[in-house]
Order: sequence, then structure tokens, then C-alpha cells
Amino acid sequence: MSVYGYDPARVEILHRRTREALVALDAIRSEDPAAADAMRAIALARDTLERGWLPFIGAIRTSTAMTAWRTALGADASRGLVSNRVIANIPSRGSPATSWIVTNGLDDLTDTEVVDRLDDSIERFRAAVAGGDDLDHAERRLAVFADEAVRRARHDRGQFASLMQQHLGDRGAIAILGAIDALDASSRRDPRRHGIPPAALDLAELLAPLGAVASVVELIGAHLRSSTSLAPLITATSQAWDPTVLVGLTTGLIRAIDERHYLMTMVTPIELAGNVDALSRALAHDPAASLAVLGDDVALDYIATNIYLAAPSVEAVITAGLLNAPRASGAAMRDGLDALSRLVVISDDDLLNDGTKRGLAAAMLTFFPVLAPQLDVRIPVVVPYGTDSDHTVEIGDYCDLQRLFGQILADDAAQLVLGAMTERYRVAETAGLATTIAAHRGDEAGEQRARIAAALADVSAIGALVLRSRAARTSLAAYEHGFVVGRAKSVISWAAAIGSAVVPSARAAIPIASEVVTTALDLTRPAQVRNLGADAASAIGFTVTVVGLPTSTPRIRGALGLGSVPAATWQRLDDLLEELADTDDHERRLAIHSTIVAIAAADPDLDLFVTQLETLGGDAANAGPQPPASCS
Amino acid sequence: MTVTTNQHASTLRARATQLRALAVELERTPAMALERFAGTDTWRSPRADVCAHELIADQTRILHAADDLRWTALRLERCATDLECELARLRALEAS
Repeated sequence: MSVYGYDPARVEILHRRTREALVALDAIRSEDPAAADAMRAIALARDTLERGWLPFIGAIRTSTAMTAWRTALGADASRGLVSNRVIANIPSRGSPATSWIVTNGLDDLTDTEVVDRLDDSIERFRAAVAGGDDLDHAERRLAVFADEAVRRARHDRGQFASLMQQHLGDRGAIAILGAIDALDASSRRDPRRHGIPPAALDLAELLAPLGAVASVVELIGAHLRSSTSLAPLITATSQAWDPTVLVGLTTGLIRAIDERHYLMTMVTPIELAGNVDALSRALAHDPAASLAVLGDDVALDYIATNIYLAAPSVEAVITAGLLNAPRASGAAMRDGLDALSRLVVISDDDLLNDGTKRGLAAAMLTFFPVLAPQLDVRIPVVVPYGTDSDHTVEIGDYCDLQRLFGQILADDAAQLVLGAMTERYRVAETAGLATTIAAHRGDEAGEQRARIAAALADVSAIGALVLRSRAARTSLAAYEHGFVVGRAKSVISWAAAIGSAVVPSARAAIPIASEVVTTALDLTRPAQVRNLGADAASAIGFTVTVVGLPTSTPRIRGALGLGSVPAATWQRLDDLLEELADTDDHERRLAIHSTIVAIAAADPDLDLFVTQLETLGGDAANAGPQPPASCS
Repeated sequence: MTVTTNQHASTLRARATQLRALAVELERTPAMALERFAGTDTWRSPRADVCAHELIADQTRILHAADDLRWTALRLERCATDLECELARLRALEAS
């Protein structure tokens, strides 16, 4: 579309000149019969100005476009939406370009007129597709009015949507869905075209507010079961759709697939999975909506195990629903734990989609703190939730969890994420230790060390679960690399973003964990992870926690029985720990770690401290009762 | 007869003068320069294009009308001249 617009100041001048021209034309008189043609020419010119120019100028002067479009333009520009309204493209002769009001030339149409013309354009386009009018012209006309309608709907969503519903109703929704199908078919037939036709995107965005009406939602749901054209458009316009409607559409579609309704349509189960995939990507923008879908047993089964769904889409919706959403409230945590317990059951019978494994691995950042203290091989894992922990959800027994974690560990990317989340959990668990120890300064050093060990024990319980869950041939190299990644700045930032995304104010997609940790390793895929040695990465995390605590907090050294360690040793350790935190070079990290271990071993007090905590905190989880052999 | 013919010729010349004045008035009326204020630096839209095209058509029509007025004025003056010549010829015949 061309750039249209007007200069308000010049339009004012034009208005004055036009009125002057009219007065001058009125003043021309002649009774001479020979001047009859001339007087007719004058009358025609007068008619042009009076009936054509002045109403148009008046519409521009009095329409809200004079103010509203300027405001809207500013808002659009700030959101990067000024695609076809680039002021700089307007040729300017003496008039500063910024004085222009940019418009598409439809300003003087009322909202009702725009809706009517859109309706008419849709019908004409559908007739053209059926072999009537010129198809290109009909599509261009449809694109113009759909674009204008979207623009008005964005600026005045509620009222314009209401107007559309009044004027178009269900018939309008059916017409829009038909036009979307026709645009999709037309686009597929034309090899010169690439991507989604803009008019189709506009129509999908206009359809979204109509979804407030139940009958329209039913129509859209039926369309999603029989066509592949709409779902990608919903993904592309996800911001316009009410999350509740998206939840209903997704669960409805999955239940229809589950009940074999596709047998009555022309689409295949794989194509319908594509629709679910697209809806999942739209849902992932809203954690609460994602959790609502995962709360539907049929939907959870389908999403978690379907091999036709793309792993990134599944990971996105699982991450949004189980990592982000449960942090919002006790009720959301209950729903998240319910979904987790359901996934434990599912993983016993079916293979999980790789996206499910990765999403679950990321969600452990939320679940580890409530899960780890309850891990006991002898009794079912029952997790308390809520502010006073007076409610519980039974997740399953230890063996069930082993099977779930076994599936997670079968995917290298999920392993990486799980390792990174374990490291983030360890950091979180030990974060307040220095304050606690300082507050109990009078206690015996043994008691103080026991506090550190207790904090590390929950982390170790997770480590023990992971080790027991691995299949015999499963390498844990990626998991251990995850520990390293867990301290990368990008992953720390990501975890902080998750914490602040409890109830996102803007529905922006949160980067999925597997991409973040993979990028943190500067790798294109997890299989390229270099082998650092099985225990090295894990040991670095442990040493950083145990040695780092008294190094960074001198006031607790005495309480931990480390008061006689020379200041020079602490200074050396402090320098090394700082260097360790700053470097992403894995070989260098290993070398620094070796030096820290050597320095600790050289001091009798430090050596005893580290050894005790390795025994109490590091191996405690493995030293107790073992799960039955039948679990593995 | 002589007086009537003479008056008629004068009337024709007066009409020709008025028609020429009208032609000038048409050409100079502000509507004939309105396009200067309605260019693409003032507005741009399909409807603005329609306005411009209609104005051009009207201006062309007016210019043609002005030309016609001048042509008519010329014809009227020729008629007046013819009448005056005929009157002069008749006067010459009467004198002889």
C-alpha cells in the first residue's frame, strides 16, 4: 500500500482557498446567451468544489484522524508497527515531513462503514476465488479494508469488536474463516508468494476479539479440526487472542483428535498435530494458560507424548506451564504438581516427546525446592504446598520418579538443562547460609558445619535421584556440563527472568531453557559437548559452595572452626574463586579448581572442613537405604 | 433603418467586449489556480487524486469555454463590422 496522508496546516489553507474559489465562481454572472456554455462550465466547477472538495476537506478537518491518528502513529512507531506509514517516504515541498498526518485515505469512513466495506470485500474476494471477479483486485481490496479494520480495532479494541459482532455476527466469522482458507489456498497456488498473506493475518487478528462470543469460538474450534490455515495465523497473532479462548480451542482440538473426529474431515492426524503445535506456541506466551491446558489430562497426555509435535513448541508450553505458572500462587503450585504427578504416570507407559523432557528439566527449578526434602526411597513422595504447607500432592513413589528422570536423562539437551537447574538450586539453597551461621555464632563448629551439610543434603538427594535414574548406558556428561552452565551469566539472568515472570505484565515469550544453556556453552547442539571428566564439573560446584562460603564471609570463619587458616590462604582462595566465576574457559576452570583443592588440602583445618562436608552433605543421600533393584 | 443598424452593431461590439471580459474573468477565477494548494504536499490519497482529476476536468472545461467566448466575441465583432460596412455601402448608394 502506498503512503497516504495530509498536512493539517496545508489542508486548512486549501479549505480557505476552496471557499474563496466558490465565492468567486458564484460572483461570475452573464445573461448573454453566448455565455451559456461558459456558465455551465462554471456551475460544474462549482459543483465539484461544493459537493466533492469541501465535504472531503471537512471530513479531514473534523475527523478524529486529525488527532487520533497522530497519537496512534506515535504508539505504533514505538512498537515498530509503522510498516506502511513511513513519514520519511512522503515527498515534502517546503513542508516539514513531521507535520503530516499519515493515513490510508479512509479516515472519513465511520467504523460502521469500514465494517460494512470489509464485509463486502470478503464476499467479493470469496466470489472472485470461486471464479467471479478479478482475484488480484479483490484481494487488494480485501487487504485495504482488513488493514484499516485491524488498525481501528487495535486502537479501540472493545468498541470496534463489539461493532463487528453486531454487524457481522456468526455469519461474519464464517465469512472470515472462509476467506482465510481461500487466501491460504491462493497463496499456496502462487509460487511467487512467500509466507502468510498479510490480509490473512489481519483477518485472524479481527477474528480474535469475536472469540468473546461462545458460538464464534465453536465455529473457530470446528475450523481448527478441519483446516490447517488458521492455526499458524493464531500463533502469529497470539497477542490478540484471549488466553482463555486459546485454552478452550487447544483442549477442544486435542479432545477431538483423541476421539478420532478427524476421520470425518479431509485433514490427517499429522496435520492436526501441526495445528496443536501452532496453538502450543501461541499458548507459551501465557504461563497461566499453558498450565490450564496441561491441567487437562487428555491434553497433557497428547502434548507430552505426541511425536508429531515439534520439540521446541512442546518445551515452550511445558516450561511456561510448569516452570513459570506454579510460582504465581498456591493453587497454581497445586495444579503444577498435579501435572507433574500425571507426567510421572505417563512416563511409565509412554515415551515422552524430547520437548517434554527439556521443559520438565527446566521446571525442576520450581519443583526441586518442594520435591528434594521429600525424596525417600522407602515411602511415596508426597509434596506439601501452600503458604503453611497444609495441602499435599502425591507425586508417586521413588521408583516412579526414577523412570521420569530416566526419560529426561535420555535426551542430552534435557540433561544439560537439568544440570544447570541443579546448580541453580544448589546456589539458591546455600545462599542464606552465611547469615544463618553468623546468627548462631556461639554454636559449636560441628553444628555449624552440620547446617551447611543439611543445606547441601537436599541438593545431594537430587544428585542421588539423577544417578539412580540413569540407564546403564546413559552418559551423564551433558548433565555434568550443565553444572558449569548453571553458573554462566546468561543462565543466571534467565533464571532471574523466570523469577520475575510469575505474572508477566507483557505477554512476551520467555526463551526456552535448552536454547539458553546450549548458547551458554557456545554450542550448536548438545552432542558437541566436550568431555571434561565425569565428576569434574560437579566437583567444581561443590567446592565453590563449600570453600566459597568462609572465603567470601570472614565473620563466619571462626564459627566454622577455620579461624587459624592464614589470611594469605583466604586471599589466594578469594582471587581464584573470583577468576573461576569470571572465566567461561572450561579447561581454565578445571585448572583453577585443582589449585583450590590443593590449597584446601594443604591446610589441616580446611582439609578437614571440606572432607567432612563431602561426607555429610555430598554423599549423605547415597549412603542411606537404596531403592529396589526392580526400579532401574 | 440606419440608426437601427448602427445600434445593432454597437450592441454586438458591446457583447463581444463583455464576452472577452467574461473569458478573462473565467481564466483568472481562483478555482483555476486551486491545484497549487492541493498538491501531494497537502494531501495524498485515492480520494485526493479523484478531487484533483475532477478539478483538472473543470479547469479544462472553463478554459475551453473562455476560448469559445473569445471566438464568439470575434464573430460578433465581425458581424458588427459587416453591418457597419453594409450601412456605409447603403449610405454611399443613397448619396450617389
